[in-house]
Amino acid sequence: MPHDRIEFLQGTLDMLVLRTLLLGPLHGYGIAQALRRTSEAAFQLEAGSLYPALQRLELKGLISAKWEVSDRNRRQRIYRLNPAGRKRLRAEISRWEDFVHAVTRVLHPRPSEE
Amino acid sequence: MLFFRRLLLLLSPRHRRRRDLELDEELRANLALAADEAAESGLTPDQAAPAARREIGNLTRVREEARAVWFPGWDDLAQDVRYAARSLRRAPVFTLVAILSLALGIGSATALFSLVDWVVLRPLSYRDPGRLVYVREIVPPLAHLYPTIPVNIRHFLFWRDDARSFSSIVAMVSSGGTITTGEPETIEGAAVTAGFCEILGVEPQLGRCFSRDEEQRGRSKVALIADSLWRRRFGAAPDVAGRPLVVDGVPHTVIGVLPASFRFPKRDDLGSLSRLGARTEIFRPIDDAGGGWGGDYDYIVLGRLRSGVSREKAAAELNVLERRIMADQHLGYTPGAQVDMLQDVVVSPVRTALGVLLAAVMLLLLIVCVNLANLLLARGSARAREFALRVALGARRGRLMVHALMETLLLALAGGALGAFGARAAVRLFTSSARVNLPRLDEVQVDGRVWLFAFGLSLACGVLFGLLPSLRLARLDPQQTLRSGSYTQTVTRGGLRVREWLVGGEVALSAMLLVLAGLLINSLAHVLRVDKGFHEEQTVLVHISLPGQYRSPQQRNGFFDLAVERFRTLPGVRSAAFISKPPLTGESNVNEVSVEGAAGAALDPVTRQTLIVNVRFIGPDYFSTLGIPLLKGRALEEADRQRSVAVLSARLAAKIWPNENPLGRKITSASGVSGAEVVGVVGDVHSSRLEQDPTMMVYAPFWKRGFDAGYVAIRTAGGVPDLLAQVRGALRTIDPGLSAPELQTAGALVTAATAQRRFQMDVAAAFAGSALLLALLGIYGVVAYGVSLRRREMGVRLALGAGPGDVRRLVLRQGLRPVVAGLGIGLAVALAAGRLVRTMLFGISPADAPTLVAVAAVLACVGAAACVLPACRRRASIRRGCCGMNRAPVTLLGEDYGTHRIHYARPGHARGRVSAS
Repeated sequence: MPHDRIEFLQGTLDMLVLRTLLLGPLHGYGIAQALRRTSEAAFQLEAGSLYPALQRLELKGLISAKWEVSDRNRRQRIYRLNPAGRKRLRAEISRWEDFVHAVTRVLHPRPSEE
Repeated sequence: MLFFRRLLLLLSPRHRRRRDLELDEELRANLALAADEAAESGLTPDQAAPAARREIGNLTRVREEARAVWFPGWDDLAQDVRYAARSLRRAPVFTLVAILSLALGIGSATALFSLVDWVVLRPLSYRDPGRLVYVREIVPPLAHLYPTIPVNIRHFLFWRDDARSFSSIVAMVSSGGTITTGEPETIEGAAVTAGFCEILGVEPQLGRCFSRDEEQRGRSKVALIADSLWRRRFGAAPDVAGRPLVVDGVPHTVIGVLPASFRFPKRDDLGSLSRLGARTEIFRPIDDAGGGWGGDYDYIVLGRLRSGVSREKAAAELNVLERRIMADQHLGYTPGAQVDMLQDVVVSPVRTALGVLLAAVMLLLLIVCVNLANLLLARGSARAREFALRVALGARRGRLMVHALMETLLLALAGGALGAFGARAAVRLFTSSARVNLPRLDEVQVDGRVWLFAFGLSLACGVLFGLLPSLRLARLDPQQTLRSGSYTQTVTRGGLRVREWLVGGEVALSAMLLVLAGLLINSLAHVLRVDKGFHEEQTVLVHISLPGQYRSPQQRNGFFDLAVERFRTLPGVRSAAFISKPPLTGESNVNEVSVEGAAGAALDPVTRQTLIVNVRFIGPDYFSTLGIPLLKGRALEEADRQRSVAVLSARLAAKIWPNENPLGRKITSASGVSGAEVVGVVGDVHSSRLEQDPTMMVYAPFWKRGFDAGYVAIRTAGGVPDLLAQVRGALRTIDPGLSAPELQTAGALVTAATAQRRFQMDVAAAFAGSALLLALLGIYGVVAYGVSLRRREMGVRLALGAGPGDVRRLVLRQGLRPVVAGLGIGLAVALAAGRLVRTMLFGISPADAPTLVAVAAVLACVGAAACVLPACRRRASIRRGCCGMNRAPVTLLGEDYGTHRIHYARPGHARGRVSAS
């Protein structure tokens, strides 16, 4: 039985892609690898999700892409975070944290003070 | 931002392709990268590639999903369109009817809109047209007949020197001539003051414009020519400036060529008193030679307002100047100045008529939409099961509505496209062959703005006629629809009610259109019945203008005497006579008249207003040639050559001497009639519009004036086929250097005078006819549907002993109810809106009873026919007697259950089966 994949919540993928690009410019394959690495293989990102997400972010002007020659001497489409993307990422992260806190409070209620 | 990027992707296929390729390349590059890494982790190249592919997944799917991001919902839309197209293909007759009727409606509306847009709405094609004004004068003694008249050039000179309101102001007057450089040709032209180019904002494409000193005698023989003349006479030579051009025997120098895009007002664009040529091709300076600075009120004056100066302010300033002019020139009255926006003057005579026609075509389009909504409802009831099934299978109602709307939008766009192309062809045909004199007609075309109008109109139509049926479909209760074996029970009376409303609306709209058409037809009939005062048949008018070599009045008179003589001897010609300006070609030589022995101008005995007459100059036999009856005394004759005599029209004689014999009295008028003895009285003749009273006319012998241009009227014995050639030949024997004359029949004058009215009537009648046809279709459809709903009930009634006549009456009553209601509403609205068209009518009021009754009768007949038809059609198809109800009620009852045949021999048994099903 292969590794159980975690389904992405709607909008979460976009946030994770933006977060990955915060570390520096990267190509599509690199983003997928980085996500797998940092999530300790919890996220197996499918190409069918990644590339639409990249297209969407680019259309929205949150990231921009440029063809560059990579260290392996191959032309790659490298994505960069735009200022708008940076701003959006901050907003998304704080929203996410609020969400997680709320969910955590529900799942693990603190013992009543009374 | 996102929106614009999407729009860019949507609109530019190039952009889309580039993005596609980029995505492909990116995927390939990433694939290669994955393969590299796989190889590094120790796999052989053979194993690495498939591994990488596994990692990335199905490339095509990836591409598709990435692309779907560009247009979310796009696939749905494409699917809707495909689905709609498919379901339309399944109903070819409906689709064809819908597209054709929409094409008719949208096409007509588009064509008319292009007329209204180009003629009325768009600013004139001159620079900064919002500041361009048309100045006319108000002369109190004439004001009761002519509220405003063209300008007196002396007054203009005052204004030009002293008025501060205008950045420039020019005067112009119609002034053509015969070119004799090369083949002689008579062309129309205008004499203008300097500043002509600046005021209209036109730059010559070659050469220059007039300068102020070219208004002076001796320097004024220069000409600015139109593009058409330049191409025709000079072969578009680029070095035309400076070349000579002989006009009326006087050498002129061409100084420039106006661009092809330049439009000069034509005919009576600026009012019938300031009549211009149909095609003005030569412009020359007004000079002070040859009586150019004369004192008549003949000049068209255009001004350009300084910024910040209003029309009213300019008029006020001119009026101050007018009072000075009065004092200066001892006029005996104070003229006033009226300043109007040029655009208003040009456009206002046709604004109402075009507006009414546009409204009419919109009514027609509305009828088309109502009709289609009706057809769709009928189709909708047939499709109710399909929709119910889809709802039951989980389709969202919103999506179903979109589906239904998509169909109507597709229909509307197809119809609109067809209609717009038709409109383009129609507009081209109309502008190239128009016998209607509309201002700015030559500019009319179907351009981007008009296409956009057609597109918007199509969308509006699609939504309009699709909304109601799609709402009904979406509201359907699937359970009930599917449970009942037959759809008729679910769509039921509610649907019928809606459709009856629609039919009522359709009839109301048709009634309005029919009333409009009826009123216009009646008006034209009244106009044509007006006694024109002359014979149209077998009368031809030859227009001749003499070149400038004919300098003295004797030479000119001699020419016309000879021409009349030659024409008279042509085979088939009964008589011929000179006339300075024939009937129905406009007014001219408009003057007061005074009677010897009385002080001042003659007055109307009733209103005490100054009598205004036209003076016409004629040769012997004119009255008999045109068939104008001689009522008293004698006509002019050869012996009057040296005498001062005049013939009056009947109305004028009756106004001046209500109870006395006019013969032997002496009258004086301007234009060279002084102390002329009245020798005869003739019948009245219309000189401009048939709608007005005939003009009061003074006829004087033409020899006194020595005309260099005029008409010879010819009366023939019957059809003379080659009259033009004969007339040309006769003229050539007199002077081979003459330009070719123009021939016009008197009938053509009448046609031209009624052309605009005929055009309005034709258009309105065509709309009304289409409306009637559509209404017939609509009523028929609803009644047929109503009958089909009630077949069972009819069967029961028949079975219980009702006669076929009863049932027929029932159908008729039911079917005619919305027709009668719609008719009432339509006629009421037509009555209320009648005053909008009052100015277009003649001889009848907008509430003309015969017209209204006729419209009601026609619509009622059509309605009744549409009601009887469905019933009778059934007879033909099922052979069950007229109205299909007088026999075999059993079959009627059975039919509703489709396959379940009921055997009435065993009614109990049958009923059991039916209720079980």
